[in-house]
Amino acid sequence: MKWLIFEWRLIARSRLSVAALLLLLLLTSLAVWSGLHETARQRDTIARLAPLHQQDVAALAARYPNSADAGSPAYYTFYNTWDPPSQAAFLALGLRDVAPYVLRVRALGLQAQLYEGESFNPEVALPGRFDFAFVLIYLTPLFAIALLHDVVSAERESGRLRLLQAMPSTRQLWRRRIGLRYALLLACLVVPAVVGAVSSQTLPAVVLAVLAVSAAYLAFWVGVTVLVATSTWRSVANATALMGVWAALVLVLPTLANMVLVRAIPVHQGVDLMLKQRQVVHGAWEVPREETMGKFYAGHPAWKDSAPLPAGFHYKWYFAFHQLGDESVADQVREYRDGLLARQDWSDRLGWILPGVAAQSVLHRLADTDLPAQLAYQDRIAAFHGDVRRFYYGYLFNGRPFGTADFAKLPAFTPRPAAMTVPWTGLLVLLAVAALTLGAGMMRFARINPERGG
Amino acid sequence: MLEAIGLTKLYGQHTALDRLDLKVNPGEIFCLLGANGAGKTTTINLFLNFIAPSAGTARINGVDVARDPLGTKQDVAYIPEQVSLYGTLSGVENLRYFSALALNRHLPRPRLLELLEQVGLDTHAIDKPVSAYSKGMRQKVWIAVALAKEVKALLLDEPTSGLDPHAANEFSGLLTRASQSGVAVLTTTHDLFHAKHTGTRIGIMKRGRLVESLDSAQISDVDLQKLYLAHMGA
Amino acid sequence: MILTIAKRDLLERWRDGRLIWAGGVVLLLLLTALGVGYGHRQEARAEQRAAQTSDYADWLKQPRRHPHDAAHQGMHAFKPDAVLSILDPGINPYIGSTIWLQAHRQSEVMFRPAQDATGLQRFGDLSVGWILQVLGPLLVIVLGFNAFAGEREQGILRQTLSLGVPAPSLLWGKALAIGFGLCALMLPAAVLSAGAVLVGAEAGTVADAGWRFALLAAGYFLYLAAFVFVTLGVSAASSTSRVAITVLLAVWIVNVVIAPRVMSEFSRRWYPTPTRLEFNSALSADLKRTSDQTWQTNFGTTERWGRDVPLSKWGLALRLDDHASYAVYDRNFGRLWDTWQRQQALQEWSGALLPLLSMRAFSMGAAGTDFAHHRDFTTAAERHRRLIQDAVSDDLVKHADTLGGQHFAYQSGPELWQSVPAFAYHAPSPQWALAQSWRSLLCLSIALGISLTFSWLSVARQRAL
Repeated sequence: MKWLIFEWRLIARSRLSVAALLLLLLLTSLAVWSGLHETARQRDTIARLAPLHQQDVAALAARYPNSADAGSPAYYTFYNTWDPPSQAAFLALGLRDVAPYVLRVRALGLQAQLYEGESFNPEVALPGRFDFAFVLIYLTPLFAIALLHDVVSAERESGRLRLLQAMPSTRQLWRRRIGLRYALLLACLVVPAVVGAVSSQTLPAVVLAVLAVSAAYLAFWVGVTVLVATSTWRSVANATALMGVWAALVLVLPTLANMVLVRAIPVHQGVDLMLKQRQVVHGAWEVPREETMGKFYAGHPAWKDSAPLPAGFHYKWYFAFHQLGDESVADQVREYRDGLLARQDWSDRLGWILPGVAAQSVLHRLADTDLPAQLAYQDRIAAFHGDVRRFYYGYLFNGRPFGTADFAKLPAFTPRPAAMTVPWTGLLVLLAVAALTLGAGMMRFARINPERGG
Repeated sequence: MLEAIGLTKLYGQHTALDRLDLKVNPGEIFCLLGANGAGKTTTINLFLNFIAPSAGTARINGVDVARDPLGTKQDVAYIPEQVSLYGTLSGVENLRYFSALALNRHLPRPRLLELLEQVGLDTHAIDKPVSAYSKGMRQKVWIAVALAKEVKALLLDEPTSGLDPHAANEFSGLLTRASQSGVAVLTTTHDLFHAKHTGTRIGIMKRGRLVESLDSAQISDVDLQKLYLAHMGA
Repeated sequence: MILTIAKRDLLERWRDGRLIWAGGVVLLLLLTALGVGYGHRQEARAEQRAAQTSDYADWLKQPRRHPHDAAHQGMHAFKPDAVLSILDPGINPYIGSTIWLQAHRQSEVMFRPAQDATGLQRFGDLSVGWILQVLGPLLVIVLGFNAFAGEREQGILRQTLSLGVPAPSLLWGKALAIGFGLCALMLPAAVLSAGAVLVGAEAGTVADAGWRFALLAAGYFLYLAAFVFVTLGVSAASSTSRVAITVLLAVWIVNVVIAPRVMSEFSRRWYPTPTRLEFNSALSADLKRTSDQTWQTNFGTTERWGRDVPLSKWGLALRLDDHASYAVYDRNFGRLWDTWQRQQALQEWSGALLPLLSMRAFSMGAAGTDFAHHRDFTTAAERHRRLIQDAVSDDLVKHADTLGGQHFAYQSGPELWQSVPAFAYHAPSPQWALAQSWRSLLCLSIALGISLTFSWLSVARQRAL
């Protein structure tokens, strides 16, 4: 205990160290607050949807109190869908700033509605969000470097290294020194995160996983710093080399990897399927109506006993060709999603060699703000869209009128529950890499030679 | 040539230099003796305008160094205790560079070689990187810079510290030749022997004050040592 | 004397390996990014040309049909990739390049690549611009952090000053050395970039591309020069190299890593914008109000397309309704985009102290990949959409309305389709780009001025010991 207090005094009397720790604490707190603020804003936006929807439906019910068919009500009624942020989303906002979390859909072709992106200023979205994930992945390594890069070289430069190495319990000394700095850095990271997690009622399992990621990532960087710090270089050379490593691992290599990934797995299908769907839908006006209905009934035999189309426009034909438009691009939709998921898989694999990518991947999964989360929301919308269509088909294909009472029976969207799964593979890989790196670094203390270097 | 009038330097409550009055004429070698912290290096730094005086003036050639810091430096050359040069450059490259800064023109290589020969630098070393030089060799390069400047005054801070006796002797010879050509020399030193045998006048400093000033020819080695120790309180 | 100092400093950086190693890595990255950017643009350009041609061919190939159906099919406007997107893709990863010109609705771009991204994309896009903005200052810091502090620690500074060398000469000499070093490193990439840009430019736009390249180069010169002087100033003010590099790295981190994110959050809070849903709700409400007014005034009813409006007036009704909507779209989209530009302006102003923000904006502006250029494109696309609308409704008024009850039996054909020209968009001139980017250019100049002043004062006041 006495020794720890001594080590603590060494840190407390170094203005640079104290400033660095306080700054990390401040930045993490700000990031957590920023994340909580953003998720609260998203929840508020979602909460405002329900009354708006009621108003719209009431207006439509007043306009169509007694329709002969459900066509116009189906055409004009929009339904809100939403994807609420998980309790842990404040830690890593992920793709929630560029992908939509609320979407209005109606019974027309889904593929024309699904990809309407969120409205955001692209210039402001460029740098990404200031959240806990950012502070952990980008900034925490710099603080580890600041506190540890000269742990050996400062002693050498001031002539104390020989004295320290001559003592019997040198390795314990270095372990205590590194350990205390690690613990203080980790505390500055996790305390604000835990406070935020408690206030947003995050599940304990998720909180523990976040702590594990933070501890592992920090341990990796402490290991890297110690590996360089135990060399014979001067403090300035250590700092420069470590900055180079940081720039490579956090800035350059992930960016290069993204460039390679985007070229290796091109995902053009998005644009193609949009254009094709539109073509089919608009071309349907020229196709004989019987042909369209035939195709529709072949795929949806439940409605084949519907009365034949009258002369003139009928909404059941209109909705039928919209659905056929969606079905004509089913293959492209599958390929598009497969392409996206393939990109995600390779991104995750990249985490095996780039801990920053691994940490981000794990945090985004824990926060349920990654690409699979976005796709899961789209799946939910698609399922709900199916419910809405079938609701109206019941009226359209059975020739039932649609009135005020029917507006009260409209399907209601239920959001998907947040899937805050723990990505064990990614987490374990990160833990293993961190342990190896830190272990390798600590072992080098045995080989410090006070006679060399400086 | 080199004149200090009531030169004083305070650092808070601490008096580093206390009303120093000193004059070094052309051809004189004035050796300042004193313990660590006596104010010797402070005196040099004040003449070079590296620090500002709290009171008094330092003059070079009658010009106040604080009023004309750049102009007065044209007339003086400074040789520090530890001469630092650019390690990745060779001896002649360092000389070429620093002499170009001092004179604002480049000297031709023959002239550079002549200067290095004058100071006695080994010809095999002149094109080698300075990182391999000894202290004495680096000092020679810097003296060559001083010679290139053809100045009328020299300021030296502990020049023989860390030199072996042969190198120290060589250095003393250079100084003597310089003073004989009319250069005023102010040097600080711990080395009583060097002060007695190289200097024309000796000053003893204690706690920022010049407590003794005498002709070196009028005191023996032994008496100088006794006087010095008496002032140091041993 | 200044040149002497510069040459020596440069020689030392060459001999101590910094120029080769750090500079070499940056040069390699620049060439890689240039190669990738060039290849990507060539592909995108070929794809887009094909798409635009076949899209217009589809429009012309339409069978005889009611013009309103043709308007609903519409056509697509494809935004051409600016040639300098090779160097700075700007907002392109976050914004799509296709707008559907459809009846009755102003659309925004569909299919932003950002939606196809994994989290990996948030680490950044490797481009020449990104490297110069992020790694350029780091390279300057590595080259210059110990320019004064190192020499002070070693005692060389004291010796140099004892020779009567004026401090400003040292400053200019060392600045020139770093400048020469950067120029030597960037020259191959600059020459190749210029070549790629001029070769890749569309016919008739080579001069414009050349001017934009020159603007870009000027901007990066100001930006990197500001960092050169900040580096030298901090080096002069620091007692040791260690303090110098710590302070400089902190400055770099704040400028390059923290400031963009923090200022984004700040500008979002200061000028909040609606979500897609809120925007669409407000737009729909505004459209309905205006449309109701139009219908009430002209047809005495708000019941659109109902019994009170005879078929002989459907063409006219379409035209009136569309024309009324134009002002609504201009108002709503205008308000949204003006707010975005105000957000961006706030970031640019902070560039006087955080130069990356101004540099990023200026670089995108010069390259033609910023929001101002995008807005110009979407506005041109919308103009074309209205052209299609008006052509269709005029045709309906002239030929379909006269048929009275047989309105929907009317079919038009190639004579109408051909009267609508293909969408042809030309990017604005470099002068326009410069005028849009005046704020960031001013802030870059202010940043350079501040850094120059700071370095001047630091060097003048620096301690020799």
